[in-house]
Amino acid sequence: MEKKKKRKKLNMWQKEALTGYLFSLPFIIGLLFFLVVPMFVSLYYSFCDFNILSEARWVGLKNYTAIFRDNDFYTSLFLTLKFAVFSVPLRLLAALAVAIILFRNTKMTPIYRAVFYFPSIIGSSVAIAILWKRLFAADGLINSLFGTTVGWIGNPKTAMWVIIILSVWQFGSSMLLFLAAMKQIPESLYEAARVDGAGGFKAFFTITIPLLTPTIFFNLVMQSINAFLIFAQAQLITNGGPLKATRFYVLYMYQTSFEFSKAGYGAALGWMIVLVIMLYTLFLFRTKKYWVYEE
Amino acid sequence: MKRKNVLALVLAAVMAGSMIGCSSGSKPESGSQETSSPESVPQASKEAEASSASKEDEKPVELITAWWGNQTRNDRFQKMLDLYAKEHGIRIETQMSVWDDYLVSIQAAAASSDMPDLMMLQGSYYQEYVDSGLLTDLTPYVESGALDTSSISDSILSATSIDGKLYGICAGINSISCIYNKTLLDTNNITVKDNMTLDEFAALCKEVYEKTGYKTYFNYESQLMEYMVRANDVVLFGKDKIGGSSAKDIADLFLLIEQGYQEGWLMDYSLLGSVSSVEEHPMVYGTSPEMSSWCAFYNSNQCTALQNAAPEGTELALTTAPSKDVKKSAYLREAMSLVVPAKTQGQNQDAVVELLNWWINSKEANEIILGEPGVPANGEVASQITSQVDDTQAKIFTYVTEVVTPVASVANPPAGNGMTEAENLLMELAQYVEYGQMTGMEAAEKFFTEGNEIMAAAAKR
Repeated sequence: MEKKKKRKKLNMWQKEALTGYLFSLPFIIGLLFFLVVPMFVSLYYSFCDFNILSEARWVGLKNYTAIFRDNDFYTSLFLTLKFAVFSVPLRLLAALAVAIILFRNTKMTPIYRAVFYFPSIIGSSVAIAILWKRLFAADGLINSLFGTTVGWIGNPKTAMWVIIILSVWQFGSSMLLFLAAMKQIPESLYEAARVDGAGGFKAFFTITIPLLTPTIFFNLVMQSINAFLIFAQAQLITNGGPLKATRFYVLYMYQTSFEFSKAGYGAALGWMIVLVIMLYTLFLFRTKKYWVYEE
Repeated sequence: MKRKNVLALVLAAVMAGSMIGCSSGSKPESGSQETSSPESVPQASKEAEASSASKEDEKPVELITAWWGNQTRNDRFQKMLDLYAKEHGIRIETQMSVWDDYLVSIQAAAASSDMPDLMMLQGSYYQEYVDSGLLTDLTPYVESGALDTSSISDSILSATSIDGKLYGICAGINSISCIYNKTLLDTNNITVKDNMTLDEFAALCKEVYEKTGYKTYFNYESQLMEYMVRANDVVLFGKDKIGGSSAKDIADLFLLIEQGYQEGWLMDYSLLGSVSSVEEHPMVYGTSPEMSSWCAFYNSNQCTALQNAAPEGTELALTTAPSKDVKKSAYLREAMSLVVPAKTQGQNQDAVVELLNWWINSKEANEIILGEPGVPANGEVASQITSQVDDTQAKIFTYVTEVVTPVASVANPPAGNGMTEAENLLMELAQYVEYGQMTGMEAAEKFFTEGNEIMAAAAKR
């Protein structure tokens, strides 16, 4: 009788573990079905000829070798890199600058913080993209404010900047991270600096920035990954134009897979960008020790 | 502990349920969508959802229909389908989209075996779907009488047949046309004549620009080019190649655009964003002469939507698109036809064919549609509703039946698989010419070389 009882009852640790698993089960199921399984299916498709309407046909490495001979692959990758290189630092700069200004605790500060955070919530929506298209139209609001009639969206030289500005406008989330990190810096350091005679600027560059570098690094990695995957705004505002000036990588993938019915090739493109992002992130992590302050 | 586990299971069930709910869009709302689609049409495709309504046998017949178009078409089709649904006691669900996104959404539906029961498709795209066994052969239904095609002309039926089998019925006959701002031209005493040659058209554009400041905006470059090169006895998109023996045979539109750029009557494309719907075309969307075009190139039926989108007091009219020889270029096209996707399980095909038959042949259906997609394929119905259509529609009917039909010749056969990609290349190259970064002949050469590669590669797949 006792033996039976012992087997049936789980000990306290096992019960905790079971509860934990049960609670995280929905997320795990979701992760499996909506992320892991599609990932492996796409890997399979990347080795096939697949036009979505009929069964996939295995062709081995044909898609991957075709990628290296594809001019559009290189140009779209270059454009995406260009976008990331401009939009991410600008975004972080804006976030840092505004975070510093909003660091003090006055009555209005919470309101300002909410106002600056708001764009990052709604910014990636379809509605905002359409609004942006109207805003920067040749007869839109921006032009009437400055009294000009520049075709911001129709001009190949400025089209990408419209999307960059949209991305930078959503700096709110990074700003909040910076604010939180800045609050963690112990006040005693600033006091010590004041005793030593360091002014505001000196203190900023020798205390604040170095101690913020972990947060800057985190933001840099996360925002860069997001920048590589820019799609929705580009499709809605410029649709890859004009003259392919904003034909970003994921947009090119979308076009190849769904408009040209070459989904196998599109899947291969997808895995290539994963590789590129991995290499880029690896580079960031390897060079981390040169500029990030670790406690 | 027990309570925690129960709570965990309940939360898991709720989350799983909401995930299923999210993935299939809105909760299965039976019946047709009563709420009109959002004002900004480009959004329509993103929000039109297929409710994965289960096709149980106990449930009343539920059909899913899908089409692309514009607000006017959406409203009329919705009204017509509501009428049918009420009369027959079935449920009809509707999915509306814009052209740019339509094919993509249908492909996605095909991949997930979630295709509509009755949908719109253009004859030139049939081949891929037929090859993949995705369309129902309607010939048996015609033979049994369930689908009445007696009042539809043979040439229209042949445009939606492949290898002698009928796969779709034309939903509206129209023709590629030049739709222009009649009010503007009348107030400036500029006359337009039908069947213009390329030179006459260029001269007209110049005249319009000099007298009014309105420039010319070319859209639909692919269809326009296809139309123009018919005058060179060339079928632009063949089964596995680009028609013509050299770039000269397919350069017509590029050269015209180049001429416009050189002579100054071509619009400054850098002032415009992408034109993703009829309502955004500079002819109806422009707020000043530099931002406006005096004409637009669309299928004749799209004049309705354009007229509805045009500013108050602007009247539009139609004429033939220019070509070296309009008699060779002009043709009547089924720019949209209704097809019945072949689904593997639980499809009530008889009910779908019944709806299709009513849609095409009944007076009451067409009295609501009033020929928005084009002149009804059924000749009898067309003449029956002529007296009821509004001014714009009457203009379109007259244009198709009296201006185009006398000069029309047989339409091009369906194109091969690589057509979408080749079309995309053509549009890109046209853009380069429009921005003055390529000459017409350079664009033609590039299109001839690369287009042939694309078509050949696609035919092998």
